[in-house]
Amino acid sequence: MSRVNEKVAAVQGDDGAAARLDAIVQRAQSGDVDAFEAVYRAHVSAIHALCRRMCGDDREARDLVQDVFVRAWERLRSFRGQSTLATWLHRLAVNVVLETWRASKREALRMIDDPEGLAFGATGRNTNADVAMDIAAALTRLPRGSRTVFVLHDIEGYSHDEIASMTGIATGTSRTQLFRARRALVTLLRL
Amino acid sequence: MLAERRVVALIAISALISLAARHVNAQGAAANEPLLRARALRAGSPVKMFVPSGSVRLIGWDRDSIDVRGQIPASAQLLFGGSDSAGYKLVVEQRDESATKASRLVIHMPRKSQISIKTADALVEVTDVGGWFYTVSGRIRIDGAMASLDVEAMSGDIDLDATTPWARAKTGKGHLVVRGSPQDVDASTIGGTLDIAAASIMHGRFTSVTGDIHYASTIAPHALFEFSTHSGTVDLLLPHDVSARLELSTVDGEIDNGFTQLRPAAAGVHNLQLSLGSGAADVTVRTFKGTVRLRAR
Amino acid sequence: MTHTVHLTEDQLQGAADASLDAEQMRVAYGHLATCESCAADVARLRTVMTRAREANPGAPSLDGLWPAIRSRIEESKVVRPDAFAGPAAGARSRPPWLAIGSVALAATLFVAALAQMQGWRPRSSDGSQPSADVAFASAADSTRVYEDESRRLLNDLEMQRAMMGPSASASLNGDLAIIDRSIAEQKEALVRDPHNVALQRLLAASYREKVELLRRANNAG
Repeated sequence: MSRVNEKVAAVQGDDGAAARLDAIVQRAQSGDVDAFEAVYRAHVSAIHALCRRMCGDDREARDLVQDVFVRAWERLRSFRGQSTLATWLHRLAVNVVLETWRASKREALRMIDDPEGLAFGATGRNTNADVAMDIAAALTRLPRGSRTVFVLHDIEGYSHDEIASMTGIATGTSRTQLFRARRALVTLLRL
Repeated sequence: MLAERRVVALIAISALISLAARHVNAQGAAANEPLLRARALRAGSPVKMFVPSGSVRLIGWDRDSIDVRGQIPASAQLLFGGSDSAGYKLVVEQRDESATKASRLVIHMPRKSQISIKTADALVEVTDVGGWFYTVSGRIRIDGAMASLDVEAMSGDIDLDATTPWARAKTGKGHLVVRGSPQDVDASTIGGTLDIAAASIMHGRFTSVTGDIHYASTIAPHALFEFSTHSGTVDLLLPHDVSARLELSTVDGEIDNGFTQLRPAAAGVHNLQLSLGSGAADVTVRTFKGTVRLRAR
Repeated sequence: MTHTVHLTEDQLQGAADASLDAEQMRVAYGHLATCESCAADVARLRTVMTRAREANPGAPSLDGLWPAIRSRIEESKVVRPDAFAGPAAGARSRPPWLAIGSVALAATLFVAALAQMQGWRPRSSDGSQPSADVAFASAADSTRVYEDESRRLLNDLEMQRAMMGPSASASLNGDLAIIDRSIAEQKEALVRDPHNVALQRLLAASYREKVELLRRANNAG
């Protein structure tokens, strides 16, 4: 078993796992990149899942995962254990995704303006009008802003106040977009 | 004008050929071909195939079974194994060292099956199933609806006419056509021509090294497009009422702006920024020394 | 029972995610107990939430991301002679497709380095912004990473060539020549105009296409 996998296995499976993880994090905070690799291996799947849900694109998600862990390395010294490392990384990942979108020229958080007329891109032939898509495909059909609100609230568990704080939208907007996103998904999933 | 006619004609001919082939294959081939294998198969289960040469027709249906019909050459054998939950593997294998002969297969499977198919030079035609499709020098045509598409060729042609949230298509010198209703598209060639005529794209990345890229469709509101080539021409044929913000740049090529009645936001010898309509979508075009051509239709 | 008055949208959504207060929940559930229409609607909303939570967006192999992350971390540190130790032990014994994946990482690293050039600069020891030469040197370092990985990948690919047919091999050679020429021209232009963002992105796109070509070629064997 590789050295990194031994560390990860130690973190995941044994008694005293928390103590070992503390030691690994402390070593990473002091500049040990190998120790940080163990942190990466333990959390990359969850971070990738979050990025993938938020951006709806696997390539972009992989790029964002890289950005998240580079940022985590840069900010690791500021982690004081007030929350679990997973929670800290999770929050950092959300911020990296939102900041990346803000930094681009594009309008990052497009919302559902008209829930009835949501542009599903339905021009062109659809030979399977009765086939519902699965949830992952349906999520990619939502505008980025409402998808962000849905993912953060219904999947990741953030409150509307927290979402408003992170994204810069009003709490009421977060709530409205969440409701519209759910309705849109009901339609796309043909429930 | 000539370029416009060429693009429209190419796409129309491709569509006619595709429709005709699909009609013939769907209507006649399956029923008349001998049954080779039939097994229960759950929707969503993987199906992996290797068919080196000939033709393979893959059709999604609503039954929970896989049905393999057709003919394989006498010098080959059909290997087929797996289970309805774990999925199946189908391989056409030569029994000896003789040159590979053509197989002809028509395979029905559940619509949500995840296909992985690899061929050398076979014609692969797909309806209503998604997955990974690979050929060296064969041709791949895909239509219908599926969850995702990943299509690769070394030098073969690829023709996509599908409704899917996500499509990725790559070829070398083959001709790549994107039609239908894909939402997120990543398509590229090395030297082959890339033709796009799909109005539903919300995120499109189209790249070629030396091949030409032709886009002939409207642009959806809030869509995001990137076109880039090294020396190939990027030819955008847009409706006169399109709404998009365009940023065109070339290092050593030329920009040919057909929207001359509009004042650009910025213009230089090698760059042009233009806002059409309300500027709802974003289109970025970069070439090294290829021509960037913007035309209204 | 047929109701003429139904729950409001706020009530329906709140009943679905249990975000109503106690009194509101009592009222809503009292209505749901007798109104099939509203009950079905709440069930649909709950189904959406449940499916979303249970869906796994797919867990692709993420091992290959680490080398690029590590490279970016190392580049941000003060340069030590052993800062770039190269691939981990045992990397050469990995299958070619994983090696090819690491080329994608190197290209991604390059893309990320170029894309961030405007906003990220390695700081000199006195905290001042370094000159454009340093910024370009960072990209050059990333290029070397890519090229080292690319050479290793091509070496691995030589083993696959024996299994490729002649047409696949010829196709690969032709396409590689086309891409390498374009990369050479773009790099030469970037030396003359290092701040040209469009040119940086063109070069990144060329590297990406080369990586993907090599991956396709690996599948041709």
